[in-house]
Amino acid sequence: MNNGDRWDDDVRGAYQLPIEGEEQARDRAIGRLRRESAKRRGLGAWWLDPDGLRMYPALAAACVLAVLVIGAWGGAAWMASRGVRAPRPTIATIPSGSTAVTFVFRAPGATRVSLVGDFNGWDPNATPLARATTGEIWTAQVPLEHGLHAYAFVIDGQDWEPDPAAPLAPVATFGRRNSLLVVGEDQAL
Amino acid sequence: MTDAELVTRAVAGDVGAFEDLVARHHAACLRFAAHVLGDRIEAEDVVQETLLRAYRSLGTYQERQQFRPWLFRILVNRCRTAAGRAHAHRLRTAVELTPGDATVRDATDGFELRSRLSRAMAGLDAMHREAFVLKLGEGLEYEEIARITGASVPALKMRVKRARDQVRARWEELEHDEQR
Repeated sequence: MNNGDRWDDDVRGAYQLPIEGEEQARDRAIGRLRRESAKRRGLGAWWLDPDGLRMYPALAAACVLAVLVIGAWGGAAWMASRGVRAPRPTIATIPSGSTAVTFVFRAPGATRVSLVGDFNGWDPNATPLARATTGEIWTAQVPLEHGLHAYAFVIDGQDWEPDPAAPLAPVATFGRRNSLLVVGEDQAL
Repeated sequence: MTDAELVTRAVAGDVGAFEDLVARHHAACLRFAAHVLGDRIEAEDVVQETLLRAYRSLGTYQERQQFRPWLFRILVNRCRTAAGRAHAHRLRTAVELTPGDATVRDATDGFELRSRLSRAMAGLDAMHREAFVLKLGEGLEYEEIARITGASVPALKMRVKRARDQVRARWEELEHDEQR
């Protein structure tokens, strides 16, 4: 190693030394991000926030029910007016406080469809849908814990689509909309 | 989990995933900003602005990009803006990163080395300082620095060479003085 290389290493070593208060600065940055995130989600944020659901369970349930009823009624009316019969999630009860929900999605021309949601860490590789024999319909059965879930479908690993048969989450994240599903005993709304 | 996987989750709305990215890259961002701006407090502000801007821009992030160079491009721009602001208000250079400044005092054995580097870099203008830090401090390839700064590779090589010669000459002077 020549003198120039050694000097470069000395400079790199001096540069890489930790800066005082680095961890506290990182925590302050994360705190500011959380505030920003809460501001972005606005007033609608609390009911998608687990803390919010704990604080206002009755109000949360009422709002979810209202959104679902209005969404289902509006969606059904819209589809009926166009003669469209959309596939819907179906259910089968399984033990241990979960319900097996079958997701059905129509995606003409798709080569790959997957399900992403809060239940699989929004991982596009975690829950692939299987193509039905008709070629346009894709399905997957997923055991979900009882409660409110947000989800969407990812087509060919790129296009993010909410479920046309379910109400939309009121908050778009980075311009993307997700669908909502409430899973309970013997039912998935 | 890779940066790309965390970004995918963050784009999907998982704020915790973005926090993991912050935890992973914050120290490097703070180090870069502190050396370029020569002011620890200003650097922290700039890094916060950078992370907020990155968070708001995640929707435009392309998966073929690597997260760190993408983040550093935002950081470099924020540092340039902050450096311009500092010129307008108060010209504060890396010379001030000395033992007399309690806000930048390191609780490490490397304080003298850091102080020497700060003082050796004090004469560099912002353009040369940026190139010098990305190359010798962060150890990035010239092509990567070009994507971050928008400058051409030949121009960057020239800047790094000039900066390196200048910093090294000053470094050796300071080292000599410390040994006397």
